Amino acid sequence: MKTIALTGNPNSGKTTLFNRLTGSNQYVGNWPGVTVEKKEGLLKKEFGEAVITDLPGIYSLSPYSPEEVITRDYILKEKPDVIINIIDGTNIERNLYLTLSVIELGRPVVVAVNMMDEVNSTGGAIDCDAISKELNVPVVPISARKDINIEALVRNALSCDKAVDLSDKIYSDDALIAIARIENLISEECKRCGLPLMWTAIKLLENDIRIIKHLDLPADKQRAIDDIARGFESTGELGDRETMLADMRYKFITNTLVRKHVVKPVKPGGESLSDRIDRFVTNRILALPIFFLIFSLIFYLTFGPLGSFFSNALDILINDIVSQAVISLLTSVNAKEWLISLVTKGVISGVGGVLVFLPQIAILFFFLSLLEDSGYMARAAFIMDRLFRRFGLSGKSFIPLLMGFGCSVPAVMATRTLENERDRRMTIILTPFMSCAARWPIYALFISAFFEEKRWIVALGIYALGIVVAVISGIVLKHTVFRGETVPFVMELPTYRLPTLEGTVLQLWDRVKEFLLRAGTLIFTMSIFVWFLSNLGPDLTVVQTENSIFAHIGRIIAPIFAPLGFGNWKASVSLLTGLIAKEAVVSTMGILYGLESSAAESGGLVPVIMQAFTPQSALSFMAFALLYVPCVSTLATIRREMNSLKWTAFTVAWQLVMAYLVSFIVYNVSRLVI
Amino acid sequence: MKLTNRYQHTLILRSSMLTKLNGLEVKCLKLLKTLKDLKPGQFGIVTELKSKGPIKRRLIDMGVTPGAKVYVRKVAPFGDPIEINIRGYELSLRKEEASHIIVQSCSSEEGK
Repeated sequence: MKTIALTGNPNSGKTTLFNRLTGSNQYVGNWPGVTVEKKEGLLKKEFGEAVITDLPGIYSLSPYSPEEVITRDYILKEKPDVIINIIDGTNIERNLYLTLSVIELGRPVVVAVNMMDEVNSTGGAIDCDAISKELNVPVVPISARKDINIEALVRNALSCDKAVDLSDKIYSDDALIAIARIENLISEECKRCGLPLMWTAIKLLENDIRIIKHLDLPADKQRAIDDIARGFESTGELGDRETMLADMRYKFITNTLVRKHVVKPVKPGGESLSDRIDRFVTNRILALPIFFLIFSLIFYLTFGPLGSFFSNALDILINDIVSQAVISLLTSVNAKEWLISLVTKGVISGVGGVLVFLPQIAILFFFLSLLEDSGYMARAAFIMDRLFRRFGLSGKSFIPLLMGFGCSVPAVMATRTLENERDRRMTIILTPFMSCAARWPIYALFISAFFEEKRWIVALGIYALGIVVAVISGIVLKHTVFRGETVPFVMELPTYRLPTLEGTVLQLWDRVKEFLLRAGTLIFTMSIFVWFLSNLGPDLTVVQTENSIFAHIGRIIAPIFAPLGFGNWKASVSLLTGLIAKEAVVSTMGILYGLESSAAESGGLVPVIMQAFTPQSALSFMAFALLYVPCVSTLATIRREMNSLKWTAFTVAWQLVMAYLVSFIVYNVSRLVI
Repeated sequence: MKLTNRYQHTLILRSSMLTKLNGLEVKCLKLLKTLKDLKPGQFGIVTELKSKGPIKRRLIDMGVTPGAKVYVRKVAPFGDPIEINIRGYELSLRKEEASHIIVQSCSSEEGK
């Protein structure tokens, strides 16, 4: 079967095209060794037979960002039969830069000029046939969003089998001579490493650190190449080889392609629609009110009446209807009492406790993906950058931090948009302080028990506490562990576009699927595990909860929490199971306290909690639950994203210290105040 | 100090040239500034990148190369970063990065 790789700039409509080509025949994985998302799919039957790999959205093939390295490694090693390079017709000049880099890799390329409908409707024009003649590859005008000409694109891709060489057209004679001389030097090493000769020579002339390392040339050859490069540098005014070659590529694009074959759209009054929207959205005075309005609205819809309505409905469905049905079913087949307890109090209440958050997580991600697809997220980063820099972060940290309010796992994964290692690490450390949705039931429980009248103040307060701790941590880390240079911030502000329903729904489905999978596997197993630990004694016989394995562990660690006001073993055990998943804190409390008062089926936890805690220790417990180590899924993600055990350990240590310290302060201060 | 300024000024006038930016007829001066010094609404032509390493490569890849025309659109509400239009799209970068980009400043004939 043919293999097709899809490349393109961010915001070029690549995902939309991928969805058009594959429909729902797609699956998401990870690139080996790194955590950049890998999407693959089967071509829709009506188009033919092929496997399509969606490569990350990138601007070039430099050796500096993981996404770019993945793309070029994939093309060089996997040698896809053809590459579809999708470019944004409304921003063709910069998009073509990647096209030239991709063609240089020596695989057959088909160029898809996307958003042609928009180009035409704004009075612009692109002569695709002429550009195709210049580039010597098929160039197909399409609109992925409006589903125009996709079939022609696929037909071209399936029949395209020749790679082209444009170096004569792009590079100066001096450059070509230098490239040829390097080719002569490295042909042997190139063959050994299986790299295309010309591309490798160009990369060496560009001083590409990864290729230099990979080839591992003998010192005399490397010296000879440096001499050739120095000679080449002296032929131009720009002075350094990287700039000189890039300049030649851009000159080729501007002079040969864009100036002759592209008519840029006429903007009414010199302003596009995007510019006009930005006059308000990134306006000096209006930007912040608009920003806060948008995010307050999203939070209100997520955690306010809309989200609660769905959550409550699901809660009733699972814990009343399903649970009762299962009990009567099990009773009717004379199941043992412990089995009924395992299924209902272990599995259903454990997994169900997580599932009730599904509506809220779905709503939050729905809005976040709308913001992302419309182009507002980049503006949010633009607006907030100055502020975030004070805490040692970048404007781009804003997106992961915001997603942290939904779930830390995708939030930590979202730090990939930060190119700089230091920014990424810092953002990863601070993200779990943003209170994820799974922590909400902990607050909800304690608020219902102690602070019903001041519900909103306490809820907002706990979220604010997380932000304050993140800010303080940021400032402290900036001046200690991460002392040193500030890092650059270079980001495109993409044209505003109306998000497509299909794209948003597909993206949402990915998240929901991930969440359901987690609930079905990790949390399912954990619920059973917790039930056993809380029902079996050290001798592995069924015992009362007070004598269970958990109780033993809890009693050992409980004194640690005494200075925080909740030094009882049930609270300690709940926090322990919270490591497996934050949702488990409440469900464990349910199991631990619920089993104790087995008669009280209804009425819930609230009355028991009111006896076990004081308002002060409740506040302290909430603060601790907010700040201490996130769940194992998050920890595993942090470990992967940090790609370092040392940094993961540092993150955990930092969170534990902050949690203990802040809870201690909260407990003692509130004892004085309340 | 004043003398040098006046001397520079005459130089500027003599070597000014006309070019077209975004459809507007503009006058470009041989006066070199950094991109950071351009005010919103002003044009410039990139002449040199003094940044180093990955950041330089990133800027080049994004089309910030010598000869490229830039238009400073706005400054973010908190005073940083700035938004520029280059090669027909919007790019934001911090003043720190902009201070390493040398431009020839231009003024539109409309006196914008």
